[in-house]
Amino acid sequence: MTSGDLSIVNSSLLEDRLRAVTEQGTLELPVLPDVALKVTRLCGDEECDQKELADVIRRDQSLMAHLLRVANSAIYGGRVEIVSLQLAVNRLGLAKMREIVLAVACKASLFGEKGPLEEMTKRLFQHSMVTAACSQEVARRKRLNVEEAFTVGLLHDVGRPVLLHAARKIAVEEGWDLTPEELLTATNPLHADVGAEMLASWGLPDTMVQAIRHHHTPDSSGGEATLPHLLRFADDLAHLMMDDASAPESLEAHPDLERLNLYPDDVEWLLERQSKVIEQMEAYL
Amino acid sequence: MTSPQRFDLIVIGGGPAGQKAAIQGAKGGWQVLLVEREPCPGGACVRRGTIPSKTLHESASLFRRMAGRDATVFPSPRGEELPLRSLMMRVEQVIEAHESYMTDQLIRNDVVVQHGLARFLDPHCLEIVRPGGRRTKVRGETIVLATGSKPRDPDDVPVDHENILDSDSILSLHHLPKSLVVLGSGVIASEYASIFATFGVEVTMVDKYPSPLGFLDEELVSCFLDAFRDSGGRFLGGHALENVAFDGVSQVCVQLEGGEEIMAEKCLFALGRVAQTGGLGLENAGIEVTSRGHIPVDAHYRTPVPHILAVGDVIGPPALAATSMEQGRRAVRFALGLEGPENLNDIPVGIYTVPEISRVGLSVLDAEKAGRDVLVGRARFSEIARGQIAGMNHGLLRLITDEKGCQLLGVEALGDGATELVHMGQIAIKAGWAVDRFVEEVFNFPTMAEAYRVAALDVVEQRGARNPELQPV
Repeated sequence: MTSGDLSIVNSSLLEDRLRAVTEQGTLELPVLPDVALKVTRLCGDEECDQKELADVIRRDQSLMAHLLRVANSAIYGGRVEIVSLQLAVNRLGLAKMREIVLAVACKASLFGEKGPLEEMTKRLFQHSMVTAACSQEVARRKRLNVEEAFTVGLLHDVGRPVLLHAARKIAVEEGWDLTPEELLTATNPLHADVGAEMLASWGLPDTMVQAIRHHHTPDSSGGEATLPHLLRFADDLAHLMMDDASAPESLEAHPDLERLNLYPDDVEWLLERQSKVIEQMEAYL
Repeated sequence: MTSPQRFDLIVIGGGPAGQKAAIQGAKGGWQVLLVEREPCPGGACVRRGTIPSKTLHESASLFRRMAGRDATVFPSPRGEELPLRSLMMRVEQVIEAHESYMTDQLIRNDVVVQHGLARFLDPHCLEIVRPGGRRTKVRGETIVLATGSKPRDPDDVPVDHENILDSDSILSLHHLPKSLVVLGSGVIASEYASIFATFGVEVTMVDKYPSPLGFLDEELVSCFLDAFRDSGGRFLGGHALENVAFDGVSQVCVQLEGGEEIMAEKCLFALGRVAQTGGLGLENAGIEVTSRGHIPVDAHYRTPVPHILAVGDVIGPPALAATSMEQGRRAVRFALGLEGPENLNDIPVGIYTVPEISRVGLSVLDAEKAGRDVLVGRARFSEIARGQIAGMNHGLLRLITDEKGCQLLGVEALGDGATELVHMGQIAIKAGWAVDRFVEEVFNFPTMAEAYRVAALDVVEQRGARNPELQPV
């Protein structure tokens, strides 16, 4: 057998091993940092006390520094420079706070892998940010909720870094020499379910959990939910905008066009948003 | 190349006007195609207009009635605790039920429904583009344009559908904003402003006109404004807009001429709707729109190209669902050569503000404009037993009669249930009733029908003062 054949065999074994780990419940699902969970819940609570929110964030210096940096970046920057946390909370509003804290926390805790997978997880985070922005734009065009679309876009692939980490651990233990791309491929079958379980464990709404679970198989989501279709389309649109290896050749025959009621002029409008979307992603790097 | 599929009637747009046109055509024996841009028939009426806003209105009215009760018996949530999303989920259920009923009705009548955008290639041939871009050609002997209207996309207000919304995207909100500034004071603006104020949102309605709902007289407008202010709403009339912008962070800033600034979490742009004619390729059919962007029609809804008809919002006012349906039906009846329709003047008008406003027949304002010295009988809901039971502080019914105070010519009502209440008056007008019949008839007690009797007695009293010889014995 050549080394290439060996790699295929090992990739297939790796998928089986990952499945076993997931089914046995021994896959370690990371929790979002406590602070991010609290902020997410506080921001979802319309009774939220702004002081309480600031106090929670203040306990995490790294998050606070990131938050102020992103809040002052071109994409979010208002007329006044945001120099204090209290000002950020006052000025950003709950929805934007939630958006930024979630993105910053995700980057730090889920896509912050160091070592051989660092470059791969960085790319995954970039793709997640671009998908979030694409989801927002599709929602805007179709008059759907823009904030919810951002959150599911950002979180759609949270299962991947977790599985990637587990896959590498298994490969190292077994002495299999697999490239980061091969490790990533092994995460394909399970990442949507694992991501959905993570969101459920963080207490996010069921509509979001189901959207993540079915973002590659929206037709099997049952019911009339639009969100899984929006997510699959935004996922592909993001690959196209970043021109990466998973980019479809075009969106002309995309299976979700009909469900989302996107006509050729809608698609054109979305593609014109490329520079805005990339700019938003870069604000978080 | 195959020739395009031929239909006796092609209807473009599946809203209230288009549906009735299609069904009328099918009932007349025609083979009918209905082209709808959304996945299901219904048009803006079902997805983004009448049905969602009225469902929200129903919840607001219920909320208002609950809030008016003894809190120990009916504890109602405070405004900021209301999850808008769950209110909107009910809207989704109503929409689905309505879409399914309409689709069934079209299928039952053998109407072919195609999802896509239609564009004229010539006066008889249309190209249909599906989402994704697949194209087919069809030919229609008669064609009905019923493409409806959409919110105006202004040059000077940056509607982003996230912070600055229009009447379509306001329905995508999941949380009630703390504050909302509504630009405009027409029907849509007043409906949403009063609904959100009822839910406890701090609402400011701004317009260049001195008072909202400019087509109503002072008494009705003042009743509406009293109710709106009681809900915490604020109306700023006579203020032109200088600038509207999202501050890039969390607030929308509305600057008015004269320097006043209003900050709010969200802004609703509700300054008009425009006819949806873009992409229809009207130039290929030989039709020019009017200076206001509407499709010109004659009394039988025929455009200057006689086999092309137009009905509903696309031909301009009154742009009401009830009127549009009737236009669709009548246009196709005429095209089928069926008997000529009666005039369409007596269709009621319903405004789903909180509280509702409705009228039918001659209005007080129309009578004033025509210089007619009509008699107007009033019944205040707070003086009607059922109104007191239901806690209706704002509300009145007005009966408008001829100069002699005999024949009923119009009915106007403001208050909970006003849109239903006017129908009894509508039938009475059609039947040529004198107001005295309302004094003679016995109605259930306590019901709002009593308002008719009270208002009729008011007319009788005024009539006595004006014509002593007509005083009842």
